[in-house]
Amino acid sequence: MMEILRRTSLIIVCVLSQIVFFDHFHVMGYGVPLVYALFLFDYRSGDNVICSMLWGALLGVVVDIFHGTIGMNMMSMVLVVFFRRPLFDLFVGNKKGNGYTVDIASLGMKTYLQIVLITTFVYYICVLILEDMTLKYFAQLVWKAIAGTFSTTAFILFYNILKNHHRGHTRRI
Amino acid sequence: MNNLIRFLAKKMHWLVFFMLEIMGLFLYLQFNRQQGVVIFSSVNTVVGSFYQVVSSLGNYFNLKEENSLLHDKNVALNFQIAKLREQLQDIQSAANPVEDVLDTTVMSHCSLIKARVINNSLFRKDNFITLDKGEADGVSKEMGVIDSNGVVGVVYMTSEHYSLVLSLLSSRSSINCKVAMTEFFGILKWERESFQYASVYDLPQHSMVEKGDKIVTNGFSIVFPVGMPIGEVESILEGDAGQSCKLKIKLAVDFSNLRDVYVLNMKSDNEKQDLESLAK
Repeated sequence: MMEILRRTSLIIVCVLSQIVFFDHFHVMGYGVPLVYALFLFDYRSGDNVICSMLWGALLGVVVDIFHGTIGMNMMSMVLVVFFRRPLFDLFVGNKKGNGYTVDIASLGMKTYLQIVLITTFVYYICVLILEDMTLKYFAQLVWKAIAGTFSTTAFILFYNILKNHHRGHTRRI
Repeated sequence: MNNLIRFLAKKMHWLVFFMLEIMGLFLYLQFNRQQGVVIFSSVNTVVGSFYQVVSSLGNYFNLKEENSLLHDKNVALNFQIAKLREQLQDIQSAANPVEDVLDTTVMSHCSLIKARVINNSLFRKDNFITLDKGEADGVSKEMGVIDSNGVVGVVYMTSEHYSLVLSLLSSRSSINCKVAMTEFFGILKWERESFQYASVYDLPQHSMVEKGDKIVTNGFSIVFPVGMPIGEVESILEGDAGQSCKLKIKLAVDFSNLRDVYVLNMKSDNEKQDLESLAK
């Protein structure tokens, strides 16, 4: 129950902040941070992939409704959620055995950064391809994805550092 | 069944994944018209290419049937061509009647029996022509045969409905002829050189013959009337012993394209015939 509440609140906060604030944060249409991509890194090894996909689909649909891009974020989110486990395992390897969560404290800055960069880039590319549905302006699309990936990664990194800092502070208290 | 259920349970995440993706795709196509158009046009291209391949394959396997149809059509067209050619030749022969080569005096001495060539040979030692008219039609031995261009040969054998003509292209053929302008006469023989050429022998050395002169029948025999075209002089050669000259003649009749001919039924001059027989 707590998990449902936690995920629901995460979705609401992410979507609202995205719509209200982060959608307006860009340079000439480039580098829009997709803060709801945070959901992709809300991962513990051993999570039920079906549940994760359903949550991902829900988040995608909500974002799509607000952005008027019905189906695009849903499909991209489900795709990345489905394949994120093998992708994460690729970077984490045997370092953590079977149990790890995706954050700086658990994986270290380098691995975490790699995971966030690659996953966000894949997600961004999926959304942009579905949005354009043409490879005519592929170079422009890639630059858009790279810029968006960096801004999103910066935000996620900032959020993760803050979270870890807050956790450390709480633990000290 | 249990295995199937176990398998499905094991691969449930794949099922859910595909289900969600399909649902997403449905929504995507439903609500994004531009992308939908792009996708459908791409799908149409792919499907079109697929159907083109299938159609090509189908066409390939139907080639036998097509071939048979084309063969039938070809045969029908060949028949049509033959029929049209026949009609054309009828028209041509009507436009160029054999009466043109016979003057009125000749016409008064003979009658014509129209016949059609049903068999012909060109490359044998003795070439014969078979006609579709025989004794029943008034054809008999030793009658001359001509076409609209000139002399063809002499009737050699007859049956009730057919006759065999010894054409000029025969080693046995020997026709009295003359040079139209000079009246010098000789004997026409075929030397198996070509079906277009024959030779005139026994022409006096002093005969003033030139290339291009017409060679015609001289009317000495009762087979052909005088003045029937045979050919024209192609070249002049020296004859045997230097006493006579030999002419190479290009025949007036195209034996390779012979169809309608006329048998000359000369009104017999019995007195002449009897006298000549007596002398022999």
